[in-house]
Amino acid sequence: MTRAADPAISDEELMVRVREQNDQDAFAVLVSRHQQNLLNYFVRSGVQYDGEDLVQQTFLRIFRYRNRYVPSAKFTTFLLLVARQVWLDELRKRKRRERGEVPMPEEPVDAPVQQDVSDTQHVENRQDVLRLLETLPDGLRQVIVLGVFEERPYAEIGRILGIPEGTVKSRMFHALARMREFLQNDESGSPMKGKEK
Amino acid sequence: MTISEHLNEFSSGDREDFLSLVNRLRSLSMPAVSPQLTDRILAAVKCEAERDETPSRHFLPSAFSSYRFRKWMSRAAILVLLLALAASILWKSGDPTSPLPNDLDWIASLQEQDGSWSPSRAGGCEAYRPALTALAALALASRDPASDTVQSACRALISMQQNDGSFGQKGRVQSYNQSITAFALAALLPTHNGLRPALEKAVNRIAYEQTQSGGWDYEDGSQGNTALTAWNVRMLSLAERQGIAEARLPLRKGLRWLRNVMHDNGTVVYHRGGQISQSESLRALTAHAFLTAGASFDGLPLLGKRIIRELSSSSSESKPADSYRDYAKVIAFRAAGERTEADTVRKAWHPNAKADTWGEIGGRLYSASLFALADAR
Repeated sequence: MTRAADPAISDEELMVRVREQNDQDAFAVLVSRHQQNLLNYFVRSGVQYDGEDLVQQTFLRIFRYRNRYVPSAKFTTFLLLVARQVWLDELRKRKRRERGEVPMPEEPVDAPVQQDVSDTQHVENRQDVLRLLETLPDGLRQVIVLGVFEERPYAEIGRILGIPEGTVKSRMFHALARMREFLQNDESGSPMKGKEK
Repeated sequence: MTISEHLNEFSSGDREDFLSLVNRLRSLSMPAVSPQLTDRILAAVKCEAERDETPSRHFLPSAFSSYRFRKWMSRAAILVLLLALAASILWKSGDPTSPLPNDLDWIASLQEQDGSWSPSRAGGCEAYRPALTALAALALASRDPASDTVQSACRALISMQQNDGSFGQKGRVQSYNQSITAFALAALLPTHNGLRPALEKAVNRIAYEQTQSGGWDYEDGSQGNTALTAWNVRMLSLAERQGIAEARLPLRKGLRWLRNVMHDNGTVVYHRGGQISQSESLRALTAHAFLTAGASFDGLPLLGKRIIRELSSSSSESKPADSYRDYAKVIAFRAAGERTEADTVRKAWHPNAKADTWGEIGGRLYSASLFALADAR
């Protein structure tokens, strides 16, 4: 184990080493510590199959902008701030491509494997939750991703999204209320039923 | 405040609903990262770090942007204008299609004062000025990469780039200009490090234009076409080798896209899901991309060779002149180590801009540049 891999060394200390000494061992530790969380962030944000590419882009940007890291800031805040930018760039790119685009079949998130009953339920549940998240526009969805999944304090979410803490709070309420409404409609039939009349 | 504290602020009915919702959301299982991800990320970072350590050499010393220099330039501009006028009169008196003893000298003689090449002066279309300048510069660089003409062409290419990293006017021509010009920037970078910022911008632009499925196309709303994707993949591979870390991801996605347009029997399609293309240039370019850009990816060079095997049996002799096709075949055969086949195509190739399939677009400058480039090693 290299010195950088010592679990007692904090993310912030490692990032300072990256910033001051271009320490690639320290960066490797940061990558191994946070790549899974970052992939989770992108999947929950709505990435279907390019999650790992976005994880790579995020770490590359972190390294490129290492001099902008302020040691007093939490590393994970810095990481999510950059990840958010990467995700926004991806969304812009998609939006541009979606104008008049014919949808192509996409690669599945999970490799097709033989499933037993409990696996099937697991996948169904997963699809349900993803469908639930899809009901939210990105602004509300990000609050859920950071607040519910990542369990970040609202003040930190505000810093990452560039909005006041009060707005985080109201968005959280609206996101939860909207998902509840969707579930209520879903359980009583298609949520589109009312609109089809 | 956290979500738990926030939930406590709601009425009991809302709190129960939202708590159950939060628990349901948190039950979402996540895919695990692939075992190669860390290595991929660290390789990209290493690439970036090495780039940082490379000393930068700029084309233009700071003195070139000084007031004195600009004043001198404005006086020189009048002289240049007069010379250009004289040159154009002389030019009109000659035959633009007449053969010259050496095509490279002929290409050099057509260079404009600003370092670019004007396609319309050799029977081509002006909208392709960036691409034709790029091809001419590459052709001349094959003889002497440090020559004044190439230096001047590099400056012209930089000046033609727009703020968003693109080249050429908006629309269909832009994709073509972008691919060819970015390819030239990447190929010229080893001897002209001042091109690096322009190349980075061009790569970013190309990455931005990439479709979700990994291809590129002339038209918005398409998932990509094979020719443009092959050019971009070749360019990104060159850029990556020059330390442009941003090239890595779009390159991988582009190769994946190309793999999906190839059939197991060595044929390719122009659009994913479309009919098998009979275009030899398309097959040759795809093969070249697999053999060069895909060299470090398992199986891709073999696919390239499979395409080449199909290409070997077909002859171009009885077909219309097509400098683009012949160029693509020569470089593909060479990349596959099929020297005899490459030499056969090369010997049978007689650049003829008037009869060339692409004559009206690129004119003689296009065919002459590709002819010279096919000899470049």
